[in-house]
Formats: sequence, structure tokens, C-alpha cells
Amino acid sequence: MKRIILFLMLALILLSACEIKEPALPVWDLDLNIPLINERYYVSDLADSVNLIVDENDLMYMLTEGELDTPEVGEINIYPNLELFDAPVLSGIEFSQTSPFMADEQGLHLRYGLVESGSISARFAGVDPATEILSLSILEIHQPSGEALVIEYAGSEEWIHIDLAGYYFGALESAQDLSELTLEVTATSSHPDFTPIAEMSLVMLEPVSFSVFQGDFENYEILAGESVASIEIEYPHGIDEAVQVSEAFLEIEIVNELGFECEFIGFMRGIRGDLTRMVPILDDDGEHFRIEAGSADEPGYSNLLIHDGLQILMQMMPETIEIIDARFIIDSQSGSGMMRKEDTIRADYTVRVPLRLTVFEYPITIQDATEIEVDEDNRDLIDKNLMGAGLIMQAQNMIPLGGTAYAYFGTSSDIDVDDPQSFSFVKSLTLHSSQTSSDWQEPVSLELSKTELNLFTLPRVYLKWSFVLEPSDGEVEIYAGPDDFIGLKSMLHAKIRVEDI
Amino acid sequence: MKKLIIFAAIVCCFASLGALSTARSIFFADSYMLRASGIEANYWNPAKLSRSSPKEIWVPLSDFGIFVANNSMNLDTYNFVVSRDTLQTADKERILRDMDGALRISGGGNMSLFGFSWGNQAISSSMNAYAKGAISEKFLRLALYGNLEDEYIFYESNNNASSIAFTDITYGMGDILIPWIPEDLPQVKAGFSASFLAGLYNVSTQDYEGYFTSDLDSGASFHQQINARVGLGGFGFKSMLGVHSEITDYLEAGITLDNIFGMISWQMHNELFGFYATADSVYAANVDEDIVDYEDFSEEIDSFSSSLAPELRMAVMYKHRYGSLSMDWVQGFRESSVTNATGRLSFGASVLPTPMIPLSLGVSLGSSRVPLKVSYGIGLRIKHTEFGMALQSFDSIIPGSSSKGVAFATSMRIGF
Repeated sequence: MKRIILFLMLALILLSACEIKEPALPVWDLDLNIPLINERYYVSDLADSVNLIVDENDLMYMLTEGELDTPEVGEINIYPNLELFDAPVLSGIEFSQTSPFMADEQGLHLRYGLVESGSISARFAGVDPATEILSLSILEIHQPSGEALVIEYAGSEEWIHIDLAGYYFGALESAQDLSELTLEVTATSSHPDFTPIAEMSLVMLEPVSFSVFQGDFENYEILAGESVASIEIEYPHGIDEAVQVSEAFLEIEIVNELGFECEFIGFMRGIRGDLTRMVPILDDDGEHFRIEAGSADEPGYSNLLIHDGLQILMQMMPETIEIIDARFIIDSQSGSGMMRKEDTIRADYTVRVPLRLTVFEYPITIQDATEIEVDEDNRDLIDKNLMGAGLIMQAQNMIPLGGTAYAYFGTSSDIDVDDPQSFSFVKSLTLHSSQTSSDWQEPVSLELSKTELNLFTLPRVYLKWSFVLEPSDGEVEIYAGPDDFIGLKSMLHAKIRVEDI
Repeated sequence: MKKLIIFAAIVCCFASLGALSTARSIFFADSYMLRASGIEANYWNPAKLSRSSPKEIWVPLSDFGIFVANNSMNLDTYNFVVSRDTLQTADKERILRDMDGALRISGGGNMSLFGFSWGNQAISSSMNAYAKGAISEKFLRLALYGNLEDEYIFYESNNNASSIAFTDITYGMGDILIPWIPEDLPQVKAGFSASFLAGLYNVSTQDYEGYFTSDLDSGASFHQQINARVGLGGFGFKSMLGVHSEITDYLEAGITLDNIFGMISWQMHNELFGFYATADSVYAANVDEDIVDYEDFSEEIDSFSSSLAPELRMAVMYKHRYGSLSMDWVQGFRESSVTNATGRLSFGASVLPTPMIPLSLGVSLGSSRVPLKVSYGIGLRIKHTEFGMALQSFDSIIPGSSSKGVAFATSMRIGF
């Protein structure tokens, strides 16, 4: 019996030695490798058809377009100076005389015109009662039908005021300036011929406005309104030092409805922040452009191509470009022509900057830091479960631009890339240009330690980008064809702490 | 996730022990063919149903055996893992060390319902439930280490599950003397048993394939496809033939062929469940797109059969006044829910320090698919009644913290 008890006790001891602990899951770390991206980023995708375009040879251009126009030229005024008082009128005599009617030094010469407003006044005084017919005709002033202006005595010796609106001055396409008016007087009475029967007065002193004007000007200036063209490109700080554009063009297409050749005067002004740069718009000889006159059937078209000085203007990477102080001048070289009051001059201008660049090693900094909001759930995950993270990247650069990108992370938006105290840490990534290699480049790794990751346990984190471009071997051209891309493959690596499944 | 793990463990906590077993076989680590007598001979070697044996009855639920085991984690490792705050690399390797491609969990239970033997005949009934499952070591490596490799391919051989439960009503007859054996040679007796099987349920993986890849060039791709068949309510049949001979007064030998025509046909409700999910070249940058193509389905299917693979068992036993030694070799013809195609050898010993206290010891040698099993049992005999209990350790000689599984059995015999 003792042996039985001994055996049972031995069995119990064996069994009781088997301690089974309460189930509890420990924590452990595991590595997750998550493919992040495998894409080709084509240069052509940058083209927005607004400020970045691709030409027929796939060369990228920076483009800015704007419009410029003048107001309607309105009426052309002349200032008559016709005064004739108490001229005797003889019975039975038809006489004709010319009389200058234009004031001196008006800077223009009228040949033909349609009066918009204006008047002429005449008076017959001391009329003999035996007078039968008494009238005055002005041959250069006529109705649309061609009938000359006639002023007749109608029994009253008061001033007769004639509204000239709708009357024409001169003859269409006349080669002669109209500076004198021809006055024809007809008078009959029962008195013998040469008997004075009345006195005639004629006055035209008020300005006459023409809605159609044919003639020439010595110097007539038409001001254009200002036009501002914005460039929707946010240039990083330093880009003007890091990149030198090789050339830039300004193309202005001008539609001139005026029948006068004009001289075009104006300036291109670029503005970026407080920086302003201005260049005159001149042809290759340094002269002002002259634009074609329009005709009766169609406006005149002028295509102006300017490149002198534009490179300097565009090198500043302007945010706005404008044509200022623009005006069109009809001068003595313009010759005779015609204009209507509703005529305008319109201009469409295009600034084209081919992305033909020389790149220098100079830091470029995006001006504003990007705010990254981290929601509470992610903050907890990063705090408790993310022990480390990294990014493995491999790139294929088919673009002749390379460089190193620096990402500065900080707790404040006031990140100064030159002040290590202003940011928490910086990570960099280098991408060589296609001038160095167009094959897949060696994979690079960006690692974030737990200490660095802890930055993302804050509600807001700030990121500021800075770049240092790889200096180019001479001038490079940025094309946007099917072979112009940056291939990027990336794998996200994260060390995860499994804490609570 | 935790629930998933627990669920998987529950699903897999029944597994194969071999052919229809009895609780008392656990006492001897399955070296039991020549030790079974009376009602138990119905299941082990009906040739041993002897006219000279006393009558015996099974009290319902008095014979009861259950086990749970796995191939890699012992209690010591379990205690170590649950007591750690953080798992380091060495700790992870300790978990994965013995997996050999997959974590295989098995379990099962056997319970007597009723039984009665008289002379060379017996009729009995028991209830059996077995299950086994495997999950690839690669899944566990993914869970512990993450995806450090570019490619993970998963095969059905390491990712599967099956479970079956049924009851049997077995009739056996033995003590049939084989004629024409010369009298100067040991006589050979034969027996047979036939079992009507009432299936409760059967779940099994029909096919599975899966992979997970991730690299810079192709992104992440995964594919998982699994089909599982479920059968509820069925009936079937199995039979056993056995021979037995007392070569000398001290030596016995026997051979059985079990599961002859063994099958269960599932008739009541059968369904095929499937799940398919695939994603190709996925990058986190485009994860918001509709990247996963998946489909799950279930459809009723025609009745199907679960075959019980034939199993050959050979045994010898040496008997002595104070005890006995036995050796069994069992070889399944193929894998099934209740059989292993890998042969295994087991030894059993019983000692009688006193006539009232039988002690038992069993050792079943391990193989690539089956762990080492060592059993310890003790009994109490009072007149015609015997009660016993046994504890079996998997992959460890001594039941304890090194065990990768444990089985427990109780047994009661009442003879008259």
C-alpha cells in the first residue's frame, strides 16, 4: 500500500510541476516592407497649357500671355477759325470766294470727314425789300447725297445756326488737305445789277468733331490701357541664381483698325516680390516698332518679335509681367489715313521662355513651410507602434536636371535651413541628372529613427524643402517627349511594434 | 487577431490518433492490440474475443480519452512566451525552432457510450471526434518578423484543416479457430468486427493556394484561395479483420487490418465554401483604388464520402507473471482524417507490483509526422472491476513543461 501511495504522490508531483501560465501576448517588433510607388513622372505632365507648354519639337516653354488694347479713338476734333462779318451782297451777281477755316497749328490736316457734332452760323442783314433770292452755298460741306450746304435768306435777319452733324467735309480719298471753304453767294432783286442789297456774315468758331476722319497727323498719340499678365508659377527662393535661362522672346500680335501706320512705344515690366525690372520694347536695331495701318476692308496686322533684353527680364523669374506706358503714335511718317471713332488697336502678347538652361550649384528653398497635420490616431500609432521607418528609393532620371533635395522637418513654420536650431532634423536625397546617367541609379535609403519619428506625435509638423541642383555641363534643354521622365520606385520600410492585436 | 488565433486553436484541437481508438489504449501509447480484450477487442483485434472470457459491460462515459498536441511548442516555450514582455529575435527563433515548415495542431477525443461482451461476441458504441490543422511556418514568420523576404509561397500541405466526428455501433466476433493448421504449430484464431458509423460532421480543406510577394519592381501581390467542404449528417461503415495466436505461454502475436470498406457518406447537408482574394502589383500610392479582387461563395453540393484509409497493425506481446511487454507496428495506407500514412512503432509494458495495482507504461516512437508519445497509467482492481487513469506526454518522456501535447484517459471495466 505504501508503494501505491508513493507512486500516486510521484504522479501528483509531476503533474503539479506543470505550471500553465495565464495567456498573455507579449509585444514584438516586425519589419514591414510596403511597396510605395513605381511610376514614371513625365515632364509633359507638368505642361498646363497655360504657363508651361510644349512646342512641336517637344521643347518645354514657360509661357505668359496677355492682352493690351486702346480705348476707341473717339471723335477727332478740329478747331475752325472762320469769321466773316457784313460782307456786301450785290444784286444780280453770283460770286464765289474761298475762305480759310482752320486755326493754325492743330497738328492735323483734314481731307475728309463725317461730322459727329459741330455748327456753322450765318446771318443776312440790311436786306433790301426788293430782294428776290438770297442764299449762300458752302461747297466743301455737303450732305451724304453730295448736295452742298445751302443757307437761304428766309425773311429774317437773325442768325441762322446750322447743325453740321451728318454733314461731310471734303471728298473721300481726296489727295488735298481741306484748309479752305468755297462760299458761293446767289442774289437777285428788282434793282439793277451790282446794287448792294444785303450784308452777309458767316461764323464757324466752335470745334467740329468728326466720327470719320481722313487726313494726316503730325503727332497724334493713343494711349493703351495697362495689362498685367500673371505667371502661375511659385518660384522657390534662389531659383534665379541657380538657373540661368538662355533666351526669352516676346511676341506681340497687333491688330490695328486705324488706317494709320503707328509707332509703338512701351515697356515690359517684370515683378517678383519687391524686385522690379523693366525693359523697353524695341526692335533689333533699337528702334521703336512701327505697326501696319488698317484699310477700309480689314485691320492691319503686325507681328512683333522681341528678344533683346527679355532674357534679363525673365531671368528674375517674375510672378507678373506687364506692358506699361504703351502708346501708339500717328506721326508725320504715318502719312494720310482714315480713322473712325470706334477704331481701336488691340495687342495680344506672348512671352516665351524656352527651358534652355544653364544650371548652377546654388541652394533653392521653397519659401513657405508645408504644414502637416497628424491626427490623434496616427499620433498614437506612431508613438506606440512605430519604432522606425525608412524609405528605399531608386530613380531613373531621363532629364538633364539633377540635384539633392533636402527635407527639413520642424515644430514651427519658421524653419531657417541655415539655422539648425530652427528645425528638428533634415533628410536628403540625391538624384543625378541624365547627363550623369540615364540608367536606374543605385537605391538610396532614408531612415527615420524612433527619436525622429517622435516628432510626428505632435499635432502639427512643418516641412520645408530645399534643393541644390547639380551643375549642368553647359546648356541643357528640357524636353517633354515620351522619353523625358523620371522613373521612381520606392519601398516603405517600417518597424512596427505589435502591441495589441 | 487574438480571437482568430483562439478560434484556430479550437478548430484544431481534435486530431487523429489512428483508427477507432479506445481510451484505455492511451495507457500504453497505442501498443494495445494484444492487450485489448472483451469489449475493447471489438476495436483492436476481434480475434481476441474469447469464449472463455467473462462477460463485460461498459458503463456509459466511463471510458474517456482526450488529447491535444502540436508539433513545435511545448509548455515550457508557451510559459516562456506568455511571460515575456517583449519578444526578441532569439525568442522568436525559439518559437519557430521545431516547426519544420508548419505549426501542426491536433486533438481528439473518444468516449464510450455503451458496450457488452459475452463469450466471443461483443457489441459496443463509442463517440469519436478528431481534428487536425496546419498553418505554414511562413505565416508565423510573417507575423513575427514581417515581410523580410521578397516572396512567400504557401502550399496546401502546410495549410490545411480537417475535422470529423462520428459515433459507431460495432459488433464483433472472435475466437474463430483457423483450420488446417497442424496441431504441433501454434493455433491461430481469427475475428472480425463491423461498425455502423453515424457521422455528425466533417470539415476539410479541399484545396488551398496562396502567395505573397513584394519588391520594388512589381509592388505587392497576394493571392489566397481556399475551398473547404462541409458535410453534416451521414452514415458509413467500416470493418476489421484480425488474427491472433498464442505462440507460447508467454508470447502472443496478432495482425489486424482495419477500416476495410471504411467510409462515411455525408447525406444530410453538404456545402462547399470558398474564398478567393487576389491583388496584383499594389503600391501604397494607389491603395485607394479598387485593388483587391475577392469573392466568397458557398454552394450546396452533392453527397460525398469521407474514406477511412485501411490500416495494418502487427503486434507481439511477451507475458510474464508480474507483467508484460508488447510491441505494435501500425501502418496507414494513406492519409485521412483518422489515419496517417507514416508508420509508427509503439511499445507497452504493464507491471503488477501487487495484483490490485496494475501499472502501465507506453512509448510510441515519433516520426516526421507523429511525435513521440510516452504514457503512464495506474489502475485499481477490485474483484471484477478495474478502474484506471493514464497520462500521456507528447515529445517528452516525462509529462511536464517539455511536453508538446498531453493526453488523458480514464477507464473502467466491469466484468462478471
